[in-house]
Formats: sequence, structure tokens, C-alpha cells
Amino acid sequence: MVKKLPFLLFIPILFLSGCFKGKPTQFDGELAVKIYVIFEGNYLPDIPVLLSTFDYNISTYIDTTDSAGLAEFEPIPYADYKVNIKATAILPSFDNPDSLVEFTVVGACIVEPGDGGIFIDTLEVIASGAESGLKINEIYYTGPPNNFFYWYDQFIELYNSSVDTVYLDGMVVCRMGTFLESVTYIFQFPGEPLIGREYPVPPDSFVVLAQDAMDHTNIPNLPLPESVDLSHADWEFRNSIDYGDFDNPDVPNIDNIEVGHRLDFMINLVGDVILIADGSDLNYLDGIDINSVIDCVEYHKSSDAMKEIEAELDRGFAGVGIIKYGGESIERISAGFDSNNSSIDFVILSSPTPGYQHE
Amino acid sequence: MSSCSIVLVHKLSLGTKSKDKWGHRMKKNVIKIFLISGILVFFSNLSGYENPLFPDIVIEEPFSSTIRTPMNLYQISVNPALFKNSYQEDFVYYRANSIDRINFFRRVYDPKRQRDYQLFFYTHKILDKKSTLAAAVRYNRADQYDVYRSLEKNFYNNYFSYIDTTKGNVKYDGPQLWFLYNYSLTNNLLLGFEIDYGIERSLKDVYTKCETVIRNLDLKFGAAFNSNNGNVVTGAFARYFSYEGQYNAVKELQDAFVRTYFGYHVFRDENPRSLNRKNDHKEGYEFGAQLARKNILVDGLGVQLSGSYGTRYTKITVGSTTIPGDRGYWVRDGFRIFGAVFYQPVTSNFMFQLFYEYKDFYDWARSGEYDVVTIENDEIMHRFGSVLYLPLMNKVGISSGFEMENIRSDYHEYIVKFDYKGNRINWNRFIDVKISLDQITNVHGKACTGKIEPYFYWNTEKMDIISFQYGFDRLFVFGTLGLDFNYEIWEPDGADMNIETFGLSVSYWK
Repeated sequence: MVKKLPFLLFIPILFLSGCFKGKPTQFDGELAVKIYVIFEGNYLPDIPVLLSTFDYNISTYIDTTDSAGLAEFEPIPYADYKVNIKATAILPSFDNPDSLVEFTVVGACIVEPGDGGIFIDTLEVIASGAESGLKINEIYYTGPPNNFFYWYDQFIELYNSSVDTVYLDGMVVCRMGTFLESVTYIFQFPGEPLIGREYPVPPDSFVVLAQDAMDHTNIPNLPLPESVDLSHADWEFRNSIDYGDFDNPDVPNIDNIEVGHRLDFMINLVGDVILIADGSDLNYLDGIDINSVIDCVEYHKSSDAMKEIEAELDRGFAGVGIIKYGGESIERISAGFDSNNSSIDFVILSSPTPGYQHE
Repeated sequence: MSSCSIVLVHKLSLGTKSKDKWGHRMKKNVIKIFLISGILVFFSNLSGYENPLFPDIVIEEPFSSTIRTPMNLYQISVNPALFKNSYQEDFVYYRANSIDRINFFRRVYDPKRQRDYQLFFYTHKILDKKSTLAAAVRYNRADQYDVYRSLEKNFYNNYFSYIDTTKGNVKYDGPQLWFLYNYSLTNNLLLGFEIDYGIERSLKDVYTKCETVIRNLDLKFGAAFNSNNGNVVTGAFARYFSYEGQYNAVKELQDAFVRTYFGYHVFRDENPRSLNRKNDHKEGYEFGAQLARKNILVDGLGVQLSGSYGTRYTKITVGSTTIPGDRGYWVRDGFRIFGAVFYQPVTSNFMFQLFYEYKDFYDWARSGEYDVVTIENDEIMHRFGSVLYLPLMNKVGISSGFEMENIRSDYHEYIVKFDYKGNRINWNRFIDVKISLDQITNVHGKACTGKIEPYFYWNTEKMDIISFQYGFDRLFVFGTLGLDFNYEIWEPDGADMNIETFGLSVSYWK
């Protein structure tokens, strides 16, 4: 028996293979993604479709829809992809089907493939400017590259994507807490809500709301060349009981209306919710009435963060992957484009673009 | 194959009937030197925090000591039950050494310079007729300078490596403990237990500062059977090892921006956060058996055969400390066979041995989020070599050796297609001379040349290697002191720059 012992010890070897995990049968890099592009029930041919991912350092895939409105991407790695479309489509006019009209269509969606080898989806694009109105178009919140915690150059850019002039009178800009019940800051434009006509925003125009309307790139003894010049901002947030708050006399103010609040409109460098509302509900203690909300954006650097705002207002996160004190900004993929999912509506810009849309 | 350095072998049975022509004192001294050679083998078993699935069978060691005996069975099998057969005298050994490696030629994520320091203490003791105890303590320190981006000690050793955006210096240090116990259950049956435990910490000196904490555990259990005349030895062992690594990347004021590589070409930008953590968990098993026979047909002719099968699993998660993201895992399994034939008649100091090693392992990695294979690697290695020892007169011993290996690799990355099929040949040869100046003083010198055809990420077809070693040792009343110096140069083909290594070692044993 003693002599046989070493050989008995050998027996487990026969059963060892694969004792940990089973090898998958499929290989990466063999995923097929097929996207049908539809506009008002019609499949759109010749539309360039962009497929990009944050998962890997791989370049964006581009394909053009065929006559059936299908764009195919294969073989590509298994990953979450963002699909973007911004193109000109020529379609029969709604009023006169015999004549052709040129539309700019935009669309975006997220592709989250399962373990199957093929992912098929349909993307319904909309005409640029659909769901129009006043939009939060850009938020710059990360601060410039610096090592002394400087982030006072934050700004919010609004854009009027409608064909009508909208008026800012009495509107409120809020930094939200947890959902609509919780308001962290509330600042209000001057004028009468809903009926005021003092502060117009023409169609297709931008409005810059600065935390401090000054040239942040040129502060004496505080060189911040990668910051931003906000001395010509359209509006400036101002808290009259914050005696240290900078006030540019040439720029009109959006004032704090929260009793006891002593801070400027400073927003988080990691994640936050920004909301604009028509000002019809000023009782901020019980939150903001959802019917008064004009636009809302939630941003967070992490895609797996907890949602802080109702999904009806924003189903995603802008700014995933952004670095604080990196000088980066978030802006809608095209001016005013809004599908109420900031994950696909926004892109990260390497530097802010106050008052204009990135290329 | 490691770089040129001396081939060390052991005397299987130090208390043999050898009719040594040397004086008694000299003979004892030689025995000690043989023992040192054996100790050096433990360096590979204690080889830090890697837990390789198949630890290298070290024929060569960076100390100059003329080779006189073939490898012992413990050395080729790592079965702790066979330790007692191989080392049969009490022994104590101390060593301090330093190695300075300057990478004028380097891969992207290699340090520009690395300095290693080690303090080593080893002892083994025959407790009684049945029990043998061995223990070692080692303190390791490695200073890496000008490391570009890598947060790994060796970026290229992993399929899932971790980098940031900065260049800095990193200091690694930590202790290792090794313990072995051998017990003779009967006259023929031996049992053995071995444990190797190490902790290592490191810190990168620029933000993104990265602190690593690594814990390593290696356990072996073995049994062996000795024939009554000692000519036949057979044994089997089981090994379990585990490794837990944690990399904490933090950045002052800004968020830490790190990347995780999948293979060597594709990476993922991790979500920036003030603390980004990579968790590296490894676990594995190895089972092996071995057989040795001495005095076959003629006196002094012997064979040794060892084989083992093993598998290892590595899981990587990266991201937040609370809910890290799954980045995948990889599995390696394979087997190794090692065989040696030696001839060393007891009537002479002449020794000749041939050895052959076959190693075959297969790696595959799975994506963290999808049930797909991202990396595959199939590697087969054939290695053979020989060592010859010729005693010349009473005071000079010369050993020479040759070693060659053929490695066939079939490597694939699937995320973005990359294929590499390699058929590489590495070899080296050496000659080593040891001269006894008097009864208590020895000097030795060794020269070695070789060539390696490195893996694709070295970006060179081949490298020529030349090394020299010099040293002496002297017996004092309190023990023996030795000093060794080593210089090695790697010259990549078609490059103006090279890799130079300087080593200095001071040792004491009794």
C-alpha cells in the first residue's frame, strides 16, 4: 500500500483539467450590429451612421445605410456602443408629395449587445429642432487644470432650438438634490414668469449664464490659460447675501431666491442635476412642479452612479468619463438636440465653447 | 531561458563513499559550496510574488561556483518530501546582494533603471533521524526609476495590465518567509510540507500615486518512497497557490485617470475617480510525480524524471472600491516533463549530465461583460542542455555547459485582431573555472555567451548576451565569507542601445 501511495496521489491529475471555468465558445471581435434608420415611417437610405464606444481605444465605425435603410457593422468587438446620426435627408414634402424637401435629421441610441452574435435595432431619427424649445445646451463644470481648487469659471449655456422667440423673464435655474422634491439652489431671472417679455431669446441663439462673468484666463497672479473668458457672458449668477460674490456691473444678474442661501451658483465637479423651469412654481420647499420644467440635465463622471432625477426628465448621464480639473465641458451633439437621455444627447468637449456650438 | 549565468547542480548525497583526494577540510568546504548552490535554487522557489504555474527549474545561478554534481530530485520536482534526500547536513547561510540593471534599450513600459537589493537568511537542520527542518527569510527591495505610465512591476507579465498617465519612480519592498518540514514515516516513506508566504508593498512617487499591496501564498505537500538501497526514489506532490494583489491609484486634486490593457494593444479608459482600484486574484494547483534511479548498469549512472500538471486562474476587477467593474479573467493550464541523465562515478570527480524539458501550456482569457474569449495563447517549449565537469589536478575545476530552448507561441488577441506565431530559439554556453589558491581560499571566474529571440513586444529580432562573473571565498574561524561580482550585457539586434546589469553579492555561510 505504501508503495502505491505516490501513484494514488497522481489520480487527481486526471480530473483537474478545467476545474476552474469553462472556456466560452464565442470569440470577441465577431459581433454584428445592424441598425435600421427610420424617419416618420420611412427607411432612410444613404445616411451615414457612426458607431463609437467608450469601452476600448478603438476608432469610430462608420457605415452608410443601404436602400433598405440598413447600416451594418461587422465584425466588431463586443462592447457598448453609442450610435449617432446627423445627416441631411431628402424626402417628399408633407404638403406636396411631388416636391422634395431637405431635412437635417439627428438621432442617437445606445447599443448594448447580449452574448448573442448579432444585435439588430431600429433607430428613429427626428428632424433637427424637433422637441424644440429652450434647452440646456452646454454645461462647463469641471474647472480648468489647476492645483488650487479653482472652479469659479463654471457656466451654463442655453439654446433656443424653436422657431419662436422665448423669454427668460421669471424663469428659474436650479441645482437639484434628490429628485424634483429637493432643490439645492434656485436662482431666478428678473421679470414676470410666463407673461414677461423683457428678456427675449431669438430662435437659434445661445445664452451664456456665468457663475462669475469675468475673464478667468487673465486673473492677476493666478494664471489659468486653459480657463475661459466669461466677461461677455449674457447673464451672471449672483447671490446678494454672499458679499464676496464677484459681480460684473455690465452683465445682468440671475439672483438667488432661496432664503438663507449664502453661496453662488456652484455646481458639483463630479455629478449633479441642472434644471430650468418657467418660474410658475416658486415654492421650492416642496420641490419643483414637473409641469413647469423646461429642460433638465443630469451629469456624472461615472455611468454606474445612482440616478438623482426622474427618468421622465433625463434617462441617462452626460459627462461619463470626464475628469475634474481637466478643463473639459459637455455639450449636446448638435445644438438643441434633446431626446431626454443625456447619455446620448451630450458629448464631452476638450475645452468649453461658450456662446457657440462645437464643430 | 534566463540570461547567461552559471549552471549549478547539487550533490544528491553528500555523505557518500566518495574517495575524495582533497583534504578533509577542503572536502568540507566543497560540501558547503555545493550546499550554496542548492540554496540558490531556493531563490527561484522564493522568486517573489509571482507564483508561476511552473516555477523555472534553475540550472543556472548568478553565482560563480563550479558545477560538480548533477541536479537533485528536489530541485527538478519541487516535491518537499525529497528535500531530506538532497540536503543531509546542517547549514546556515546569509547573503546580501544588489543588482543594478540599466535599460538603455527598453520596452515602452519598462523602467529606465532598476536596482534590486536583497537580504537573505537560510538554514536547514537535521532535527533527528526522522525530521528535517528548513527555513528562510528574505527581504526584497526593488527601486524602479523612470517608469513610463505602468503601475505594474512588470507590465508584460500580465494580460490585464494597469497604467496611468505619468512617469515616476516606484519602490517595492517586503518580506518573504519560507518553511519546509520533512518527516520519515518509515524507513522508506517520506512526507514533506512546504510553505512560502510573502507580502509586498509599493508606492509610486508622483501623482497619480499608486500603492500596491500584494500577498502571496504557496503550499506544497509531498510524499516519496525510497528503496532500501537508496537507488530508486519515487514521489508525488500537490501544490496550491494563491495571490491577492490590490493596486490603489489616487491623484491629488484631480481624479486618477487609469487604463486597463487587454493583451498588449487594446485598452479601456477607466472612469476617473479619486481612488481607482485594481484587484488581482490568482489561484492555482499543480500536481506532479517523479522518479529517479541511480547506479544503472554501471556505478554512477542515473536518470531522473519529473512531470507535473497544473492550472491557474486569474480574475481582474477595476474601478471603485465598493463596486469594481469586472474586466475578465484568464486561465492557464498545462503540463511539464523534465528528464535528466547523469554520470558521476564515485571513484572520480568527473561529472556529465544531459537534461531535457518539455513544457506545454495554454492560456485563454474571457471578457468581463460578455461570454467571449478575448485572448488565447498556446505555447510549447523544448529545452535541452548538458553540463560537463572536469577536475584538473587537485586545485582546478572546470565546468562547461550548453543549453538551448525552442519556444513555439501561438498568440491571438480577438478584441481587435492581432495574431503572433513565433518559433524562437534561445541558447547559451558557458565555461567556469574555479581555482583553490590554498586550503582556505578559492577564486572563480565564468564567461558566458548566448542569444535569445525575444517575444514580439521587445521589437527586436534577437539579442546577444555576454556575461562575466568573478568571485572568491575564504574560510575564517567564524565561517566562510564570499564576494561575487557580475556584469552582463544584452545587445539587441539593430539597436544602438543595450541593457547592462551589474551585480554585487556578499555571502557568509557555515
